Amino acid sequence: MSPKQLLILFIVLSYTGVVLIYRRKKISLLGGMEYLLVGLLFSLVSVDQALLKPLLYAFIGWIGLLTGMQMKVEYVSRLDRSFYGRVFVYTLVFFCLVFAFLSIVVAPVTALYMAIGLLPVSYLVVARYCKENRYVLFFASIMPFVAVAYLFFVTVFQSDGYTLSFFFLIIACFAIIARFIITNIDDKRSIELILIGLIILISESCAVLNCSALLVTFAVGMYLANFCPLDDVVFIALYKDEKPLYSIFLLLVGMLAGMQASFTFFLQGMAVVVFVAGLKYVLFKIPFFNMPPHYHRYMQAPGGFAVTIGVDSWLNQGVGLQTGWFSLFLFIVLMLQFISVFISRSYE
Amino acid sequence: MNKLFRLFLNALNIVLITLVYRLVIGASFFNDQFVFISPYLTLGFLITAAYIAGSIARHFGLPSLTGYLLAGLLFGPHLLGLIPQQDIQALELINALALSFIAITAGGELRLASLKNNFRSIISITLSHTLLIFNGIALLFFCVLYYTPLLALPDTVAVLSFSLLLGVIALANSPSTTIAVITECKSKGDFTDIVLSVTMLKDTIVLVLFSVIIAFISGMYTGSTISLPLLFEIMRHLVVSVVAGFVMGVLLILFFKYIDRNISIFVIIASYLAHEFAHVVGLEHLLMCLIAGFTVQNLSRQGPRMIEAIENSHLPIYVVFFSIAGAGLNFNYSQASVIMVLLFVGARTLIVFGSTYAGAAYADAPAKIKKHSWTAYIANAGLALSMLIIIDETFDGWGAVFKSIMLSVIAVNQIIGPILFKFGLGKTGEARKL
Repeated sequence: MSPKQLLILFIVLSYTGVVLIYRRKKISLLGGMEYLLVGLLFSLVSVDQALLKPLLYAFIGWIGLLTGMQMKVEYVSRLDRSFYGRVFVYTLVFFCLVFAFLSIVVAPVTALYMAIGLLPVSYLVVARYCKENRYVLFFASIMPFVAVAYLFFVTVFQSDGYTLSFFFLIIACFAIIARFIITNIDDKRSIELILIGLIILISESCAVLNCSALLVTFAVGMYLANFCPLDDVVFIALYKDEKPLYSIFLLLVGMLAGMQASFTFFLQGMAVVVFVAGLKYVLFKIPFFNMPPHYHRYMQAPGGFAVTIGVDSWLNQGVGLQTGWFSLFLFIVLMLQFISVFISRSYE
Repeated sequence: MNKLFRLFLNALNIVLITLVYRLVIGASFFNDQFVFISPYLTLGFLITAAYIAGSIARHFGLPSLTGYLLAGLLFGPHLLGLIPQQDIQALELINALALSFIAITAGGELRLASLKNNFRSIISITLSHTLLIFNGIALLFFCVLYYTPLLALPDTVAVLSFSLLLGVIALANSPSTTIAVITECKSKGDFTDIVLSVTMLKDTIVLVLFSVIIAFISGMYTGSTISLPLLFEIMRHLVVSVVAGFVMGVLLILFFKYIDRNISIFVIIASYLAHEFAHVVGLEHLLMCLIAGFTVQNLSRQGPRMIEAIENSHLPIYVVFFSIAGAGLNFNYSQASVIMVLLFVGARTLIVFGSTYAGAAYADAPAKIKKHSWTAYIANAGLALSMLIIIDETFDGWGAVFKSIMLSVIAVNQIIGPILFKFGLGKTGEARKL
């Protein structure tokens, strides 16, 4: 099968699948991660990966920009300090313990990125089961930003001077240029076109300079959200086809990453799953975090953003995840997602 | 905001984007490791730069697609060389998709009722074009090439072949350009319908004529003649394409009627699938898509929905298609080539004007058709480019010279064609947005 045909098939699958997965009364067993599983099945098909892998940068760029656009200082500053204090302590404890455990199984650098990747919580699952509790909803929705912050610090400490200087230069250049272009377009209906162009340009530039496309586009998105007069128009254009685009992304990720079929791989994955699930169970019992103890079951699913962080680290070869460990990471995400939805559904 | 200031900002945007793109490409060489630069980087740059160039073109009252073409030409491998040739080839998927998409749009814009009303004008203009442009250009260049040492072709057979092929290329138009200008100007009316119908009809004639001429020239070289089975084969090929297009149209209707979701995405996917199918089976995919669009518009109530879906998604496709087309254009600056280009463009424009006027007058068409419809038939690309590739591959001796000269002709026609057509649409009063 040629990459072109495969891509078309993915688009058809994602747009038709959205109806089956998201528009039902009951949330699907993998909470939208079925596409990752289908993508993994596609990894059995022989295809020229070099042609499809660069596409992942564009998807990462889109997700980064979309996430960054939600980071409006005006809104974020409305949450009180105690909330941030709890988030900070929770993420720090979770991150350190997961990192320490993973370091036994994998190399420290890999453990670092995997621990960050496991920080986010699937908003889809949380919103489905905890829609009456605003505190939990805020808690879940802030997690991607916290994960990006951790990723930023890790990237800064990991990168050499050359990469770091380009990293900041590219953020500054593209943030200014993007705002400049968006505010000066004559026809507001063409915003999608200009966003497609900018996202591809920014993310592929990151690929060439070996920078994190997620961080760069997140920073650009944050700048646009706070300083661009057309921020709402941009956000709507980015958000419009969120689910199908996420689905294509997951299909591509699954297909390009593949999965190892070995007993050691399975054991390593299950050990991490049990540890992460147990840790969340324990953390939610602590009254300091101010959450109903049984909510741990809804917060187990890491969601699509976890995969995004994993992919971003995987694409930055040399400093990020290697392919084998990335497959393991995907396996862990899938298992946690399944456990979370399965337990949540059985308590419904 | 002041118009001049906005123009300055747009120009500054292009400069900034170009600088950053150059910086990124340049920075990849500082790294010790080998860095793979994906063609998508070029795609991102091209979309952004071409879109801004389109805005600048609109400031001067030109069609956006002239801006897209010029951006592609400027940054392409033949002028500034910012976009490598291999990246242009790598983006061929978008080209294939865009051509099918444009053909479906063209078919969707043809309304049976309007065709019936303007039948006489359409047939009359098409016939006068076919007779006058093909014969006029072929005869003129036969005389020029036979009696002057301009290209120093080896023998009379080569001169005759060269002239006949020039005649066929002169007859070809650019449906993609025509439909892009019509869509941008939101033009509707008899003038638009006639122009679109003639363009599509002529391209079908060109397909047949080109096959016959190639067979005739090959026969001159090998000593054989055109046979009846060959003509039958060409006709069968076209009929099967029409039937396949009709089936595709019915499938589109069923989708619009019963599924009715994500129509824009579906039309894009259908365009691609049609291209792949036509490629595998060996059909004329432009004709097939045209018939599919025509079927949806005229044999169902889903036409307006399809047009709406197309209008929602046409911009990215046009920007990419025309900027890539621009990057593929090339100018040959040799003295003989410049003379040939000027002569061809000048003679063709005059004959197009004359034959359009004659055809419209014979059919008693309204004055606006007689005076202004010639402006739609100047642009020629798409089909002409495909024919050049075949000519280059088929005729070893002079095929390359032919291709080189005609690429310059197409470049000139593609730049002046849309400008003239937009001007023509403006004069007729059918353009709702100028």
